[in-house]
Amino acid sequence: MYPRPLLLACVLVALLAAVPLFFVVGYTISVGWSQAWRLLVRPRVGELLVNTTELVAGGMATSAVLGTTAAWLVERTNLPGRRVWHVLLAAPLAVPAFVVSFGWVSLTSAAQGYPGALLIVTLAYYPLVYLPVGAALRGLDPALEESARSLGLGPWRTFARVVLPQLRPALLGGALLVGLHLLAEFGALQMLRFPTFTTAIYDQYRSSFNSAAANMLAGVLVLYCGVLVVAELGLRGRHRYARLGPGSSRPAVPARLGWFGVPALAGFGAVVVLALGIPLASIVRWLVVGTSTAFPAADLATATVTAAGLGLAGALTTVVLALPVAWLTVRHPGRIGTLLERSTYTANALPGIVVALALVTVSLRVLPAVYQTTTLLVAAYSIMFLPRATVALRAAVAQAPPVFDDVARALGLRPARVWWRVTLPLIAPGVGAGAILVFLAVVTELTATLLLSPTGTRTLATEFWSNTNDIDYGAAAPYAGLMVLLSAPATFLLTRSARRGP
Amino acid sequence: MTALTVSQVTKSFGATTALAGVDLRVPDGTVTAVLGPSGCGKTTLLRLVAGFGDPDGGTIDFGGERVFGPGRSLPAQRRRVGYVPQEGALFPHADVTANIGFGLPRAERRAGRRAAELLDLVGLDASLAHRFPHQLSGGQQQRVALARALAPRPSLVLLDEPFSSLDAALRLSTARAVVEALRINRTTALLVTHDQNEALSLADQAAVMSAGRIIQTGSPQEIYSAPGSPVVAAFVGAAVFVPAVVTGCTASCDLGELAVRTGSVEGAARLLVRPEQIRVGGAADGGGAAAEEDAREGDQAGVAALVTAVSYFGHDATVQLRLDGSGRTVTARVPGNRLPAPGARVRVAVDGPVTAFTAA
Repeated sequence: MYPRPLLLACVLVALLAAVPLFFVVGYTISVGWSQAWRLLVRPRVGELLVNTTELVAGGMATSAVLGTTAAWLVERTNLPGRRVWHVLLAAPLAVPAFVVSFGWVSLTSAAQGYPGALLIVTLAYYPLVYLPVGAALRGLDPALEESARSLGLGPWRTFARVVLPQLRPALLGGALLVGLHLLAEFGALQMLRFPTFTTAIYDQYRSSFNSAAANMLAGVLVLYCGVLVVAELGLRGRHRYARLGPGSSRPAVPARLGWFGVPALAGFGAVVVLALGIPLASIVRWLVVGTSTAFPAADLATATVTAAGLGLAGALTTVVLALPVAWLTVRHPGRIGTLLERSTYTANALPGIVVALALVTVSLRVLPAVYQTTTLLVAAYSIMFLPRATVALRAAVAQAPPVFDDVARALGLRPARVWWRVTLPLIAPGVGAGAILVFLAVVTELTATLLLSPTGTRTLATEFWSNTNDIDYGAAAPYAGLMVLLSAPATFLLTRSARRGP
Repeated sequence: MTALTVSQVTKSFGATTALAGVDLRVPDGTVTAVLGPSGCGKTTLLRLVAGFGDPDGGTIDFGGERVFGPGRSLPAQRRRVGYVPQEGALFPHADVTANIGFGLPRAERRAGRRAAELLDLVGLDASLAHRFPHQLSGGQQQRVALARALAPRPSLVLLDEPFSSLDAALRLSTARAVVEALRINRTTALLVTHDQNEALSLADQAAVMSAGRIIQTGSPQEIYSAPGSPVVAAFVGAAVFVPAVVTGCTASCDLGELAVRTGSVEGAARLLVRPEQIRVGGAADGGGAAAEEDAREGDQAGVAALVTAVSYFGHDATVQLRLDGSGRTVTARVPGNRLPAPGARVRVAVDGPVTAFTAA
């Protein structure tokens, strides 16, 4: 059933994507029970566990509440300026979390500690709930709500018993993404002096090159991610959430907010000021302060060129790796295809720090020549961002259904010409979008870049990081500004795809 | 001359048999419809003829050329058949002209004359030439898909349920325009459909397919009025089956003594009566006395029955009748302007010869 070369390519990609997981599992087994016990059962690990759990649970809860409320207000009420609010509420996605953190820390040291960390990660990550829940609300047939109302349920009970259950996949999926991002978050929390597993792994690795402790913590982190993923799968259940029956649904009649509109607008205003206004104002302020002394135009240009080069290499490699997987799952649906596709998604749940650690150790043991080379860094980017590319490419390949191949062949085209004249033009836009998404993710990637980049390689993210570490906020600001500018188009792409619905 | 000959073609997918030995001959310059319920293997047959897959056994010939047989399988791009899939499948990245010219050599594509010619042939306005597929209606898309298939002048065109995605009003006009274009071009066509009206009204020859086999081939009239089996009879139109005893040219049954087609079975049989063959007379409306009189008259003017239900469609109507003698229920189709009322007592007679099958 499956074409052999395609299957082989997919197996190789899946194996590459699974390297970090193999590494963590293999390492844990090789260390042995007693050694693992000694490394893990320590007060320090307990403290990290509490911190991480507090942050993940708190961040997921606040993001879910904020994201869902905002989505309902924008999609289902008569609040003025809903289109503008939609863009503004999705926009924080364009500001990397460590830049939000920078905006606050450079303003006041009161942002440090748990309350500050919770506030900042919520502001940085609630759009991950807001976008899918908004899309789900848009796709929800208002006839369901109307039926509930006619059966005697009031607006609140209708929301709780009809709307909320329908939103469950989007809400859980969004909350899971928030949780995984929080487990992986390094820069923002390091700046806030709020230690979690990820920052502790980095410190262990950097300060003492204590790879045994770092690797063991990485194992715990992966386990944590696994628990989240499994919990989300279990909670989602096996219900059907699709609209039944043919025809498209009518747009919903927006709810009248009346006087509730005033606090709603004030809340929106506050979120936008806190999530966008403060970081952007900080960047501008430090730009003014910093450039009054010196504007490092040459360094800035070098870092931009390096980051763009890495982004380009990462995007191309990732797209090339994702294409066979996307092709297999769309054109040859079946168990093997699904399994291979899913195995490339493990990277979705693996924090960048784990991917980086795995590649450091594996490359030193197996292929020392690639250690501290751009190749290894690009490989890390590919593993980390493969899921994004696969999702985009799957949509792209679906734009070229096999019936077009049939028609083209019946019209006398050889397979190679079919690919060139039919398939390529059809999938090109989607492939391009996938490549752009990966490019922008690479440009703002910090953790793996810090651990894996060859000595002397300076990117926007690493330059920003080292300047912030030296508390030279003025010098860090231009890099932060550039990263925000570069991320904006990707955010637009993401909101557009979310607008089309899940 | 036969444009397409399919002999003993078999095909299985895993444990499922899609084609269990198909034989089909399509005469040159005609439209042949392969008619069957979904899942009977008709689309598989079409795809094997086009070369999108290889049969497990059998042979396929185009005119005198063998395109599939032992040790030979001509790839799809060298068979040069026209292929019109469901929903047209126009290339979304190309406009109408580029779609039509897709299979032409570059020079002819550049000249653009052929595309204009074909637009005219399928009855589309030249102003559509530079529209994109999403700017066309479903019917226009289907016509462009046919123009694209005809552009390289194929000897055979394959159409896979080309009208099933169109709504009722558009279906008829599009189908007529498509068949007309095929006839003007004298192109041989194989049309796959599950819609008996489409098959009967458009094709010169219909082949009824069931469970991976072609069970009858013939002109639409033959298939409808003299089907070879009860399965074919029921598939190509509404059918009333009544048990009967056949002696020579007469069948005796609940509907009276009916004439059967020559060459029918003898003895116990199953009669096929089409609902429009059942004539409903208003003779029994007079009430008790008239009914008695009718009953005495007996078979000369049909049998007495009670109207139990009427479904009105405007142009015609179907009438459910319970026969007095046996209590059997039969359905008649009557013109919309001569309707009995439910509960009315009527007399029922049968027009024309009926078909008899061996009793099951």
